[in-house]
Amino acid sequence: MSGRTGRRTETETEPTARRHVAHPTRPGGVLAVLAAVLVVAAVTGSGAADSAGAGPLAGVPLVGLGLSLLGVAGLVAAAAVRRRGHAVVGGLLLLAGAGGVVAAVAATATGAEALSERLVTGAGVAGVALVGAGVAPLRSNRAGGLVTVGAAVLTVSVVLAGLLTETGATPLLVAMVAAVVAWDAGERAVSLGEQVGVAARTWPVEVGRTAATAGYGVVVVAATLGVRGMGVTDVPLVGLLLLLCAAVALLVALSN
Amino acid sequence: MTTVRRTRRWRGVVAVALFAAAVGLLAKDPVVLLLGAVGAGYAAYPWLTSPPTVDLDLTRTVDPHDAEAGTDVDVTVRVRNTGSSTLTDLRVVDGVPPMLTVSGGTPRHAAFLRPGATTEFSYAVRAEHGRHQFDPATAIARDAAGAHEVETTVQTDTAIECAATVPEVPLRQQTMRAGGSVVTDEGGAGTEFHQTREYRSGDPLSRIDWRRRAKTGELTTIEFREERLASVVLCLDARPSAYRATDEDEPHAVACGREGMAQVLTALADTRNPVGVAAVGRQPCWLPPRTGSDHLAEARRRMGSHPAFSTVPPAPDADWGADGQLEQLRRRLDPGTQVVLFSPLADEAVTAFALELERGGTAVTVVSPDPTTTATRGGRLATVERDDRIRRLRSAEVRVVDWDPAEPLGPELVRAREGFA
Repeated sequence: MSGRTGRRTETETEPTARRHVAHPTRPGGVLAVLAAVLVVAAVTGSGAADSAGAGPLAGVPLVGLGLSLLGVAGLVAAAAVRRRGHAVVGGLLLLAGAGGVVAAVAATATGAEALSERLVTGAGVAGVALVGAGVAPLRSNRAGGLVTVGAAVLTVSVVLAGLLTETGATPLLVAMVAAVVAWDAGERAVSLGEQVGVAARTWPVEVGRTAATAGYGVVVVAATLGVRGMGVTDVPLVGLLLLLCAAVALLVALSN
Repeated sequence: MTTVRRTRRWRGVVAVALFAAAVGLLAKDPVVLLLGAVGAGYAAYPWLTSPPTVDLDLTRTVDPHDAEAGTDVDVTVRVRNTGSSTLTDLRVVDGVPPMLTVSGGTPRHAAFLRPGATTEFSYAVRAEHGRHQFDPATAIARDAAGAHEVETTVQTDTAIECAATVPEVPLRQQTMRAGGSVVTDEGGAGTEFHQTREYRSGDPLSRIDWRRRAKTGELTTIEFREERLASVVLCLDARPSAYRATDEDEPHAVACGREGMAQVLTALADTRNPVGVAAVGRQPCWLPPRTGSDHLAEARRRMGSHPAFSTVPPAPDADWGADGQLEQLRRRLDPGTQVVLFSPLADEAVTAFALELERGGTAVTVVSPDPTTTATRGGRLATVERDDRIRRLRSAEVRVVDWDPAEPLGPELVRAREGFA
């Protein structure tokens, strides 16, 4: 029958109409990368602003972030080109994207004066790149893992900023929430991409749910700052140790 | 069928909390310790939400209703939340008939649904000959934190009808006493000439060969081939081994077999032959042969919604013990009933079943959608094995229709009759 043969030729020209494409969805991917960029801006921006007294974006590694985002854009373009059947061009774009990401991390890791800033910004930019590579529609079976690793690197960057720089508590807490939101949005983009696909309209669900996660984060930050205002961080180390043990017990109980 | 799963997606955040708290404690840095509180807060997040109750009402409209083969049919699906909880993350995958391809849009949808609210999505499928029943739609709802995932199916009866291409089913000569449309080798009343024989007293006057009487004076009687009714059971092989396809984009043999069965059922419904429906698979399905429009509707309903006719491939470790069902089915078949078996002949058990039926005096026709491919080495081996099974069946006088599902079934059936009747 002509219907079937017609169908075969169509698969070559418009694959998305026939097959379910399990790539991370675009709105969730964009949200995840934005949240990841917010992490880097929060841990670097205000710390430098405090010390230098310049504008709020003075310390943000704009060059590094820009290179990193360009690299991610290269990865996205590589995926799009490869889907259209130009494997060579796709491969070149892939190399360019990966090169951009590496250059971004290198530029930020060598650019700043202090070693502490280099570590923090380098980890932050690497985290942005990993999250971006995760939500770029390249290899969907690795996407979830890349997003998780990226969020973990972002978390490490936030903790390093808390340890090594003079960044205040509020920006750090905001950065921590943003790291969690980046992971949440990225993971949702991957799972929605698997179950619903990129062709469907998914942005209301993604924006709504990401907003809910971020809103809950704001509540957590407010509660944390409230508790901090009561001066509990001045307790002796033994008290903190007991607190940690209690927290571990609580978390283990919650996660089982 | 509703299942509730825990996604455990927030487990990693516990590690974040412990990491920050431990680093803060070791470095005696209260600010870093404070960061652990964010992780701890998110660890509690999934416990603030409970799995949503998913009650959905689904309506599907098909436009145009009677499409021609090869044209696009627009399918619009409306999903209404009839439950009491707000579904913050609802994912719907519509059950597109397995033999049809989506030609525009996507049959998948995600939505945020308040109680009583409705969401709508539409896509297009390319119509093909036959009657194509939609499978139940799958709905997956996650709670606000995404900690629980509720999966359920929503059923509504919709079908795309497109003139079937099976003009006539070549039934085998195993018939009942009553007059019908299956031409037999026995002489009697009918329309097709069979033989002439000597006149015996009692033969009807209308059947005496008067020309011969006038020419030679002999009194002879003309006999026609007697036409009788046949009782038919259509049987679908939906055991795990039958869910095979040439590649993952093509419909598998169970979907093809079900589609062929629907066409044969429609064609047989135009005759007066009693038709029954049976399947072996997830559960045995058995509807004894009968006639009438109610019976036909019941047969269609079974083929649309009975679990045995499910076109969802089984889990890799599924074991339904379906070989016992073949034995059960064999005992259920009345003598004098003939069987049309839809099977890809992917294993020995179904071949032995057909051979045993034929040996026991039940006429068997096997309509075998070909799921084999010569693209891979394993595929070539399967092709050889299947060809051998077909040869063995044919040498035992079983009629086998080797059907490439890319071709319409009707001409293949006619060809099979011409070759083997």
